[in-house]
Amino acid sequence: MYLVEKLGEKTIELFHSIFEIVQFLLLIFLHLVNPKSYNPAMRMVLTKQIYFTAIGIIPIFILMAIIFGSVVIGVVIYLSTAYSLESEIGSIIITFVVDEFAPFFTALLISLRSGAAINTEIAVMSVNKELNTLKEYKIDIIDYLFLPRIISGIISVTSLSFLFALIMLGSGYLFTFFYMDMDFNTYKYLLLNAIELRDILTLIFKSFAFGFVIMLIPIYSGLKTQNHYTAIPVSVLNGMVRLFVAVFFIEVLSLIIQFF
Amino acid sequence: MCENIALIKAVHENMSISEANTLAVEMLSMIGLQKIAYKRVENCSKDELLLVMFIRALMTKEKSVILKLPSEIIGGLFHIENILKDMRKVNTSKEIFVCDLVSSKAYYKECECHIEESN
Repeated sequence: MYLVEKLGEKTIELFHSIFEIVQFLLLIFLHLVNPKSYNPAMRMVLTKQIYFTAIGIIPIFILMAIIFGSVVIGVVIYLSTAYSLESEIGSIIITFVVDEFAPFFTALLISLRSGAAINTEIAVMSVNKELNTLKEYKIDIIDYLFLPRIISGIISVTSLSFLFALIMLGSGYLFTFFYMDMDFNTYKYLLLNAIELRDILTLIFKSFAFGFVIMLIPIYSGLKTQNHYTAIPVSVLNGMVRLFVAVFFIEVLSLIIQFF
Repeated sequence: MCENIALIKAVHENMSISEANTLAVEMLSMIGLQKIAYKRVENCSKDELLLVMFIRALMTKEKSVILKLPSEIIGGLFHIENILKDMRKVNTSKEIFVCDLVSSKAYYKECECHIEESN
């Protein structure tokens, strides 16, 4: 009987939290499409958020894209030639870099940097009752705090994914030049012939989904922080775990949609 | 501080950030606090924070401003007279009320304000 009770309690809890998340999601969507949400204060926060999320990370991002990109593309090319798949190198590189690696790696990097920061920021604001102060002044916290972060997440992940893919493809040329003695024009046409609209759309849709959850989950987690400082690390920990589960879930879902 | 004050006008009256910031700095200048316009909370004194909160409240469309237990923010009422003097320097048509405990009445005796007791 105890087991049944516990199971029932857990199921109710699960459905309750799913209902809450869906409700929060709908609320965000409603604000997202409402032009009144885009007041000057919101636009200022949005600009700052894009700067912190996408611009501030660029130097380390470029460095990682060059180092990681050339090594990973090198491995892909090496394996392709080892298995006599030279004719398919273009489509292998495009699928690997544009469809999979660039959005996923960007999502991981932004999750670690901005996801954790936003979770902490909202949790601290919640514990310090700053959110209550904003409500007292009739300032909609969804418009002022959440929407700019979510939109900046979508814009930043999408633009950085494109940047990452471009740098990775560029640095991949270095490997093809030294390893396969391929000239730049051949490499360029190899990629241009392989790339399809589907690849670009995949990158855009995945980046949109990643950008959305990377901001939404830490915000939701931060909001749910209990009213004491010791609850902040717990909130960040839970938020980051949920975020990584969501990021992996999107990646698996996109793989299933693309390949099955 | 300036951004904190400007936020109210930017949200409720769609005022541009630069205009709202200028207005916020002007308001701060009236009480000689322009020096804290671009400082953060941790770099301001408690008195300065109370005055910034007061100016922020003036930015709303409400007809009156109520200061509830100012001692909780400034940590004591020994210099409340000076703070109220500073508040009076701000040019506003709003009515200002201070709600405090009867036991604190003595601190307000020297202030230029009407004191009313209620149960």
